[in-house]
Amino acid sequence: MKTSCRVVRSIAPSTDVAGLAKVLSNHVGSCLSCQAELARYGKLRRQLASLAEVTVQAPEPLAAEVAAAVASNGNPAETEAGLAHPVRVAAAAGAVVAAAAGAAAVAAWRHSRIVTS
Amino acid sequence: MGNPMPPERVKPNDEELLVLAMAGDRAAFSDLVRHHQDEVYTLAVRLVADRELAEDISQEAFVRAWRALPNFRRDAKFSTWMHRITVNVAWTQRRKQRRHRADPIDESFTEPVAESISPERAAESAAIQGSLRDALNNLPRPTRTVVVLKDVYGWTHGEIAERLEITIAAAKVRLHRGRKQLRNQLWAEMEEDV
Ligand SMILES: [Zn+2]
Repeated sequence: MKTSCRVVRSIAPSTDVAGLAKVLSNHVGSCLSCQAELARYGKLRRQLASLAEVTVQAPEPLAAEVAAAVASNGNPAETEAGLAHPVRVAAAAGAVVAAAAGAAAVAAWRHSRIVTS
Repeated sequence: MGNPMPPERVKPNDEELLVLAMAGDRAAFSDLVRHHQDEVYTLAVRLVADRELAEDISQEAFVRAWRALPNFRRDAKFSTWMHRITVNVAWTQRRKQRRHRADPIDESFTEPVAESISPERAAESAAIQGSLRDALNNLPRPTRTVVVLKDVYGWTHGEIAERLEITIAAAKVRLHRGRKQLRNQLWAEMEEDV
């Protein structure tokens, strides 16, 4: 493998043809191997970008689990505590509530919603 | 003239829900969660490659968002803010976990293809994304995190560096390394010894 090919291979993950120095872009212009290598990275980047169009459906219980955790969490608008609370403990407590109480916890959340609104 | 159309039931948009949630309305926040749970979960799955862990991370991210709502300055969209929180939670969780074991890779995980694209394109995408997903899952999580945030979600190196508390140079190195590893996995058979 030529030195220029090695250089192109080493920088290809972070560059494209437009980003190459003049001497390298001259080389790439006449080297199919380097053109192919740059094309692979271009294709890879496009494929990765296309993943942004794909959404994975969240598990069914997620929204109810969050609601249960939030119900056991107090109202930050009143406490003005924001991030000051230890988040992990509260989230874990929420998860336990959700797992143990299930629908009952959601019902409690709905009740609290009526009370607070 | 026919009967007048019944007034359409207007669904509150994110902005209205956000205002209500910031005032402590749990129902409004719950609607926000439903609107955004798929995108938050998708990001979490991409970052940790494990569905159960991604569910835990999504839940914690939303709880953290609920508590931080009074501090939300609305200079970013709610979805952007949720992405940042999700990345934080996943990154923090990784720190806790990394001494115990390597990244869990959920072999059974199959990423459904969005319904909005054509069937032909969906089939093609599914095949490409299957091998790409496998290759991504094989990356070490710090590397995968940078690749996902930069190349899938379009974050800048500056945003990535700030969120992960690393230098911009380190973010660039991880991206370079990650793309190279992906390339080697996806085109291994084309490695040439010319
Ligand atoms: Zn060459």
